[in-house]
Amino acid sequence: MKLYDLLMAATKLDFEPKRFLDMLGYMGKGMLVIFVLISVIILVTLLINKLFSKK
Amino acid sequence: MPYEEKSVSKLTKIMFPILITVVVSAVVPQATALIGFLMFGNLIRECGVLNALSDTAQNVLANLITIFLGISVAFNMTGERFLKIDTLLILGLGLVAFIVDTAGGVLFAKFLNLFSKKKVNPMIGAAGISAFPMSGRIVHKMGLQEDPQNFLLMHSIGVNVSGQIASVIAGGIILNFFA
Repeated sequence: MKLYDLLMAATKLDFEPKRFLDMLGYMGKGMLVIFVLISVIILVTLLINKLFSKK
Repeated sequence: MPYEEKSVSKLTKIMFPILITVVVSAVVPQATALIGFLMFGNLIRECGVLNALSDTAQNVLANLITIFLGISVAFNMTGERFLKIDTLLILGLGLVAFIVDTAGGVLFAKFLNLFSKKKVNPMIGAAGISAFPMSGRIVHKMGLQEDPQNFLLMHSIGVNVSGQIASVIAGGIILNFFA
């Protein structure tokens, strides 16, 4: 009976395509920030490696 | 994959966590606490004058926090709270995220290989997730199964650390958007 209730609850879940598309915008922005920041971190690491490496 | 060992000066090792914390905090202020704690552990290990603190943080403190975290989660995992469709859906979403992340890492490494002269083993892309250090170790182990001379550990752990930092940044961005 419990499994039946769970399955019934799952079928009642709402899926709103508009909200899903709005969320894709957030995801794109988030991924862009991560890519930019990781690139900056790589550059900073290269820079400090050059500045403070043993001569 | 060939591994070139390069010497890194002590000053570089000390400056790394400080500068990363400053850069990440400047761009994503909400991630300051997360990246700060991650880099604090790195700093007390690399500075060389806080060995007792570093040992405690790596062993006793890490184990204690793991136990307390496990107990805290276990206390909240009562049947009424846990066996709800929402909780199970969140678990399902996490599973899907891990699968997409792992496959995406491999595909992105293959994509980068199209443009780079020095090819990398695309398997290391699968380690670009926050599960540190298990995903790096698993990639290394899978590489060894195919070729006993194929040591991917250093590369996969590097990608794994990057994934961990990216997860911290992602957490900060989500807080920034919705908090």
